[in-house]
Order: sequence, then C-alpha cells, then structure tokens
Amino acid sequence: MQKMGKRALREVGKRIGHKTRLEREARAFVNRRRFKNDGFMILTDACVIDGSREHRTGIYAYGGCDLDAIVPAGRELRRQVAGLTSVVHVGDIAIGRSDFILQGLESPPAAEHIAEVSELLNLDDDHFAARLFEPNFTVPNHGDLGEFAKNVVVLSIAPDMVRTMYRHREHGYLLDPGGFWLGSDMATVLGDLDKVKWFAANFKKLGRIKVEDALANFERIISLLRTRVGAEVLVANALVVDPGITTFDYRLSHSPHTSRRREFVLGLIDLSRKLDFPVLDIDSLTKRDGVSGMGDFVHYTADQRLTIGRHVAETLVRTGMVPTRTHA
Amino acid sequence: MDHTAEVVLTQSADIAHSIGAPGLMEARLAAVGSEAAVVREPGARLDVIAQRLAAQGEIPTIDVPEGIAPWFATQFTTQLGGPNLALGVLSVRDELVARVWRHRTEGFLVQPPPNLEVAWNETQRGWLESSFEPTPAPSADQSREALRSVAALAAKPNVLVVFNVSTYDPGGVRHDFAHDVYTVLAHRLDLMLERVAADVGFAVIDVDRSVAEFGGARAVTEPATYADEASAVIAEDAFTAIDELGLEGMSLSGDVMRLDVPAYDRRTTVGRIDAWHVAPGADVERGAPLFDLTFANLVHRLDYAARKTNRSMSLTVLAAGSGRIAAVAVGDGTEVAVGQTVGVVTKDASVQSPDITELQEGAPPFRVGIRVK
Repeated sequence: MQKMGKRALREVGKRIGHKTRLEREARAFVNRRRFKNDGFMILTDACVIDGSREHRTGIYAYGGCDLDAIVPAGRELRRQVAGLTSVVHVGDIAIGRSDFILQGLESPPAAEHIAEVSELLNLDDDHFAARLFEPNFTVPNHGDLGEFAKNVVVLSIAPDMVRTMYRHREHGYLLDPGGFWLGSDMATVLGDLDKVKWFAANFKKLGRIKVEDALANFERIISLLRTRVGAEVLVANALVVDPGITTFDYRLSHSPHTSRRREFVLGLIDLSRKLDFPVLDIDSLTKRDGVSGMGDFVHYTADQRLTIGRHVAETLVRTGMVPTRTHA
Repeated sequence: MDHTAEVVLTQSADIAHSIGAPGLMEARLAAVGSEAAVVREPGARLDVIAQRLAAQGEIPTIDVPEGIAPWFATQFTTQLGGPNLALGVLSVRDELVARVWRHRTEGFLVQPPPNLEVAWNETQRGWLESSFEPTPAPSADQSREALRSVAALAAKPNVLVVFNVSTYDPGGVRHDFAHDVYTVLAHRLDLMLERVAADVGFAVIDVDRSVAEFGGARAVTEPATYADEASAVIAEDAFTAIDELGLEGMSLSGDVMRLDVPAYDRRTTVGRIDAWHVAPGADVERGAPLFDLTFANLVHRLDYAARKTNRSMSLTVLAAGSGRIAAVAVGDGTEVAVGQTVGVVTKDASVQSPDITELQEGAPPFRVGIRVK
C-alpha cells in the first residue's frame, strides 16, 4: 500500500504538477488511506498516531528547519502514547528568531505596510502572524483530524544563533528575508537586482541578535506560551562546533561562531533553571554519533534525525509532557 | 631553528595519548628535519602551571618523603618559560579532572599523580594529607585568571597551543540541567578558553570538534578521556593545526595523505564514482570539488534491517584542506565502498608522489567535505 501510494503520487505529480492543490489533495487522500490501515502516518512535517479521540495530544514545533528532526519522535511515541497524537513542525528559519516571534504578538505590522514586501518575497499570508501563540493547530492538509491543543511546544535557539534581521526603515517592523541558510547573498534570496535595490532602500540591516537579548525574548516567549496557550515548553540547542572546519586560531576572530553558540547553549541552560523547562541537548546528541556527515551545524543526517526523535520521545514521556497508555 | 629549540608537552592525559604519545612528536620533527628537543612535563591544572612559571625552578625547602622529591621539583619547574621555546602544548582538561592540594602553611600548590593510591606509598600519602589540604575544582573564572597568568609568565605566549575538551558526557544525554553536570562545566571551560585565546593570542586545538566528528559514543570513555583511536584523530588534527600556525620548523602534519570515500550516514555503504573533477598533479584548495559520488539503493532510513530502497543520493566530495592530487586509484564509473582509499594527496608539489600501493599504513586521511546535490 505504501509503495503503491508513493508511486501513484509521483505519477500525479508528473501529470498535474508538483505542489499544486490537486496534488496536495491526492497526497492527503493517500495518507488518509494509509492512516486508516496502519493507524499511523509520517509526513514531511508531521506525524500522527491514531487513538481514542477522547485523548488528543498536540506536539507543536515552531521555527527553524532544525526542528524537522522533531517529527520522527512520533514513530517512537507510537506504542506509548494514549489517544490521538500529532507531532507537527511549522515554519522555517526565517520566522524562528525570537524577536520576530514576539513581533507577531506584540507589534504586528499593519497589513498595508507589508503588502508590497509580501508580494516581492512571496511570503505566506500568515508570515507575520503570531501563529505560535494560537492555542490550537491542525495537521497540514489533514484538517479532517480536527484541531489539537498545543500541549507541548518545541522551540529552537538556532535561528537566534545565526540569522540576520532587517528592519523596515519607515514602518519599523522586522523581517528576515529568508533564503537558503547562511550561504545565500541577498541577490540569490531576492531573485533579481531590482528587488535587491528595493530591499536595500527600504530595509536596514540589524545583524545578529545579542545573546542576552535573545534569552530575554525566550524568557518572555516561554512565559507567554505557558499563560496564554497553556503549553509545556521544550527548547532545543544546536551543535556548537562546525563539522569539517578546523577552528584553532582564535587570534583571528574575537567572535568565532563556536563561542557564540556556546554562549547560547550555556545561556539556555541558565534559563531552563530559572523557568524550569527541559532542554533538548542537540549538541550532545549529534556529537554522540558523530557529526562528520553533516553539511553544516544545523542540518542533520537521517541517522541524527532518528536519534533526536527518539530522544524527544523519551524526554516527553519521562517528563510526563505526553500522556502514556499506563497513565491515561 | 637552532639546535636548542624546544617543544614542551605538558602531559595531561589528552596530550599524552595524542601528540605526546611516546616517540610521535620526535618522529614528526625528525621527518621535517627539525632538531628541536621534545620536553615532556607532567600535565597540570593551569594554576599549577602558572606556579611553575612564576617559581622559575625555585623549589620550597620543606621536608619531602623519600622517593617523591623529583615529582615535588616538577611542581616548580617548567621549560614553558624558556627562551628557546618553539612550541608549548597545554590542555584545560585538568581543570575538570585533576586534584590539586595547597600547602597548609606555605600556600603553594601541588598536583599529585592521578593514580595516587597506587603510585605512592602510605608514608607519602600521609605526608600529603597532613601537610596539604585539597582545593576545590576551579570555576571557569578562576581558570581564566590562571590561563591569563600562564600567558603573562610564558616567554612566548604566541607559540602556545591549548587543547580544549570534548563536552560530550558518556554518562548520557540529559534534558535536565538543574545542576552543573560535566557537559555544562566543559562548555564553560571551552568558552573561557576561546575568549582568552582571542584576547591573548593562543591557538586552540579543538578537541571538542575532533571528538564530535569521530563520534562521542566511541571516542569518549570517561569525561574528557578519549579512546586510542580517537586520540590518533586528535593528534592528526593537532598536527594540522600546528602546521597552519606557521611556526618556524613546525611542519608536522602528514606530507602524504590518503583520499577515502566518505559516508553520508548509515544508509550509505557502497557507491559509485560518477566523475572525477581533478586529475593527478592538480593542486586543490579548500572547497574544491574532488569527485561526484552516487549511493544507490540506500537502506531504509527508518528501518535498518537491511531493507534496501530504490532511493539514491548523489553528492560531491570537496576538499576540506589544500594539497596536490598525487594519484587516483579508480576511474569514473567505478563501484567503491565507504572508507575505501581512492587517491593520494600530498601536501604540496615538493613531496615525492607515491603510488597508492606504496601508501604507508597509517597515512593520515585527507579531510573532505560533502555537498549533497
């Protein structure tokens, strides 16, 4: 069934085009069939475990692409959780920085101020929305499963470690123009020179966020998630070292990447003590099995995704963040 | 370099098992025609090393039990402050694991050997316990001050290199950091080292990265203690780092390196070289594409029970350092296994190009990176 479904979907994609509405619907149809047969489905950015509708558990990861690694946790939770459970990753690196997250809630830009940039950069309609602070979510393309409360929210400090933010010169709102990770220049991100000129004329580069500012933002975000959403919070750190790069001569740099990441890792630990939340120690998890297969410090191999997923599942069960069959 | 030049290795366990292993540094120096002498000193906490530098060989006159006077003298002597220092190698490892004692009246420090129970007899241990009191492990701030003192007292701080520590704790990965567990202490120490290194001008041997690449589960036997195989990798990384510092007479990394087929992850075992981007004789810099590789029939990523899929992965293998392609062993379209040596890279054009069959056992690997297509 699974193989046939995949083949059929490839054919659909070829005939009607990839990422079209029809293809999405076809994909959802196949996944629904699979879910009905297997009681479980794992998608690109979500994983759902079937169970009693009386118990519904939502695990919601928000932000950077590193959090894709949360999704395999669903496979590990499959035999343990009670009730219908979904693990979903929403968003991308461009919406994951803490100041951008808070902007969505506390000072969202006016619709008329973001219309032009949204069109030029092909931003989603809800790019500036405070999606993280909505109490419920649905599984993408599977709204038929109904809404899930955000029982657990998983965040990452990786976007704050590396992303550069821009501020609109006139209206003052923040924007990360996105683009493929760190290597892209603005010309690549924005597509053509006219867009680059427009962006440069309208946005001022703010650079990377200070570690203490990021941690203050996280403190506020976590408090808000607890009070407004009622969610338990788990925050991931990221690998400190750069795979394949021998950094040794610190005389040349007074702010090497590794030092900045260590500051974040240690700052997050301090914050976890202050606010009492568990840390997803990606740094140790990736180091355990070896990082040589990683393209960069935050894109994980298939093995590492499994390791991380397993660890997330263990953490969720051990901390009692998700109801298990024995406790339900 | 004149004949009195000295390489001083403070033999903390991480150094002693890697570049400080018996004969290794001597062999590397001989291979590059250096006549520098290798001096091995006991490894120590940074405050003890600072004390050695400050004492300049002036040993306190107290009664020392028979048999340990030579050890006692080492607490107050070092060649790190000497004018002929060509390279000094230190480690921050002992900040985490060593036990240091302070003399109850004179205030100086001593660091007994780690295997105290075995190495010393009852009289010697009794002397230690009656004349000295144990000191607590230093905080990162105290280690920073000690490291700054070492830098200030060393004759040539710019020829010092310092090993950091792996933060990986073989005791397990935690989610609860309510207490200062090993991982937290190691991160603090490494951060301290990076900051001081930037200010003062040390080079750092990034053991944390070497161990991470190797895989902490195999590399770390106890906190900040590394298995033999991992220590060999740390040694090669250290030699490369020392090389790149460009210290006079300190060209220590391998002149001849093997070029191996890298793995991407556990799914990849056997692949095919689609095309070489370089030919023998080509000079490559960091980032240069070396060859294209395709792994077909990847095993299933969620089920490793030898279940193969019809998926494949294509990637380009990139040079992670510079060198000259001396030999290529297989042609385009050849099936290769992960770890198979498919070429030879020499450091530069001055090195005699060996045939791959003549590649010496134990030749270091040429570092490569991967770009997935």
